[in-house]
Amino acid sequence: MFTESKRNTRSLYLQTSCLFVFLVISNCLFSQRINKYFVSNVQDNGILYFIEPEHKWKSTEDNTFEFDITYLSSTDSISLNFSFLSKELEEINNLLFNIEGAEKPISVLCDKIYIDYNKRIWVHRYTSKISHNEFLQLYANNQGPAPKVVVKFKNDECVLFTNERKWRKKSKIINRIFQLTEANK
Amino acid sequence: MKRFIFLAVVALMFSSCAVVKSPLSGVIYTDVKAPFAVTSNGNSSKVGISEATSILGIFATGDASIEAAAKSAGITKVHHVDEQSTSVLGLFATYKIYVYGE
Repeated sequence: MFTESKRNTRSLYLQTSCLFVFLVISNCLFSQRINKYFVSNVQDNGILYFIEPEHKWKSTEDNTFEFDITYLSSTDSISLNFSFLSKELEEINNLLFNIEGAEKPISVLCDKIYIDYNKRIWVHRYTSKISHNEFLQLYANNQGPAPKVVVKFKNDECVLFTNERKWRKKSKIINRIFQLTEANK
Repeated sequence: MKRFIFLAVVALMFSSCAVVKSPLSGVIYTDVKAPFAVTSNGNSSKVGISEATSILGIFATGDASIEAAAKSAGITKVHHVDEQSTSVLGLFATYKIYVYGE
């Protein structure tokens, strides 16, 4: 009888400890901390924000596209650096963001940073400038469908799509970060 | 008893396998940002990132060099460099380098 009670107490302790460890881990992993999505640096000419790439766009030909954002709070433009991975070597002219319901797509010109070849894939790394307002338009409707990205080449183009659920999650985070940047101006 | 020993051995084999360089580390979870280097160059307008990943301490891949981070953003003058170490239960670890410059 005594042993049974001791065993039950031990089991209860074990279950409570497991629950505690699970809660600690889930808190660390899944809590909505926006700090982990960006870094900032205070400078003489404003605050420099860098938002890391989180999700990818993919085309039917298995090309991928992802971008990161650098924003200096004293300026009106955002640097959008992107990587376009494809099996073919391409010369990228500009980017289009097709937003559902918008009058016209957002178009941005691109400058080459470098092109690399790794594991049979061409890595095209480009930079572009987009206005602060245009960029926020991209994330304005975070309940609607995700915008399509069109990478324009000299004679061709590649249309890329992203996961809707991930896009909505990312939109909320981006909007919250830009709320923060506005509050710190 | 045999099962307990087996589980303990398995736990020992896998715990803290994916070790990541960090000024501070936690057994269950690590997410630490720290300074890496600083130069006398002026303000920065660009930020580049590079990353390496380890799984179970068995596979470790990536290029977390300053050069890769600077290259990704077209940085030619480095202002300062930060590092970020993340580890979950020693099973999965990432090491990131952030390069600030122009």
